[in-house]
Amino acid sequence: MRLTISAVLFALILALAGAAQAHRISVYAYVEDGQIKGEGYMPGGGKVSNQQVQVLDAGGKVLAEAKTSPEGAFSLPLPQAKPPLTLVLSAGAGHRATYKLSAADLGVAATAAKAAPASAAPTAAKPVAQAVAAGQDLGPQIKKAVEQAVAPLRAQLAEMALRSNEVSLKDIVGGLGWIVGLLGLAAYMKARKMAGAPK
Amino acid sequence: MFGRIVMAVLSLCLLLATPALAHFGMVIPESNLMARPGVINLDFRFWHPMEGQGMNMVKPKEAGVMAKGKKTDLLPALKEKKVEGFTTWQTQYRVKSPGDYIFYMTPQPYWEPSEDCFIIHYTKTVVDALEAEEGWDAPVGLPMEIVPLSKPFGVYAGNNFCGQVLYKGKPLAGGEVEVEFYNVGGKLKAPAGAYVTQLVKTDANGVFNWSIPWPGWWGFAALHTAEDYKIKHQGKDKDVELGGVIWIYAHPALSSEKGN
Repeated sequence: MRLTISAVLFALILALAGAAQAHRISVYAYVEDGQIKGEGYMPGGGKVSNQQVQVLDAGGKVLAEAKTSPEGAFSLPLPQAKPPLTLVLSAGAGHRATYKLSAADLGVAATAAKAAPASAAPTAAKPVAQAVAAGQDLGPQIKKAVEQAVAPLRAQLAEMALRSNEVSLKDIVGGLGWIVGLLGLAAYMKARKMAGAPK
Repeated sequence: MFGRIVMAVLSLCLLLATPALAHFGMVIPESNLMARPGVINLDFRFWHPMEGQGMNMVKPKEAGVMAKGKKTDLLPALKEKKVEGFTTWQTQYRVKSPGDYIFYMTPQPYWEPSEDCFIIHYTKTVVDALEAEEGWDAPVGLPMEIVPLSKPFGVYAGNNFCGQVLYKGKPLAGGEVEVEFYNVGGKLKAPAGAYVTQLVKTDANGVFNWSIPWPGWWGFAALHTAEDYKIKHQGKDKDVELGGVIWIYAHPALSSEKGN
């Protein structure tokens, strides 16, 4: 009897694990008309309907949430928070997809203002409710601070888009760095072991 | 006597030099998978891919991208670029949303004296954006076309590639499909001429299967002589060889021993 139950459980676990693999989910979003719009979908054309989508700030705090429509679509108010924002689509049983909205995706202007007051930056990290309540008073300040913070990142992104070959070279160099680093670590561990061994 | 020897050697050279080279239209993106929306670079050329031997291509008649059933003209955005001294074409395209993007071109007829015919290679490749994996099996509607029956991206070296050859929208039985590796810079050397261009024929339904032996870009060119028209060359009617070409990227097979 017990054996049967464990066999059934085992089969169930296998079945669930298999399903999770075959039904990968994805989420995609963009900013339009002051809203975050997007879609939850599966490879091959399936839509992720009636599931929760959350938008998180860089610190992982939930700023807003919504449910996907029967067609997988959703829209969320665009929060006044420092980029990047992360969208999380959860569809239960280990189905989870994320999508990052960078400063560029959020449509923050490239013209970085030098005169952004230093006090503006911390306000951006305040709870959304407060920021929203403060409304237009904080808006421009936050925007300025954010613009200043992301200007170098934007430039870098634009450059990366144009010079994708260089990025791949960087990747190679980075990979080599990892190899060297790991070899070094291995050598260190070995040396320690040898030093610690009885003579 | 000496003159005769020179002539014999020259004609022998010409004879030996011409038959081995197979032509391929090429449409190669910088990557066939995009994890994020963004700009993708594309390369259009007419080449001998395995030999790594270039050819000049005049500006194509048509260049475009088909996504979600909609076609966008890319011809005005094509820019000429010399590669190893040969004329090729490049463009950039901004992918904005998830989906499969089929990039294609229709070149101008190319006169090939050694084959005494014109060549037109309708060429395409599929780029998947944000794991949509939808639309790759849609025919573009080119006069000669390979429609993939196996997913043309996310392919490992060693996988089988399966496609159906359509000539004017109908399956072509007994058609020849030439297969070549894009041997960048001609670094790899085929052990003998027979290895340069692989060949597989289609079955009664126009379907072929071919296993990709090693990683990189592989071109499949379904070939058929146009049945209903010829093009004049120096006043004489000449055959037109139509090619339906698709380019597939194969990733190195994973190995548990190497830990990847």
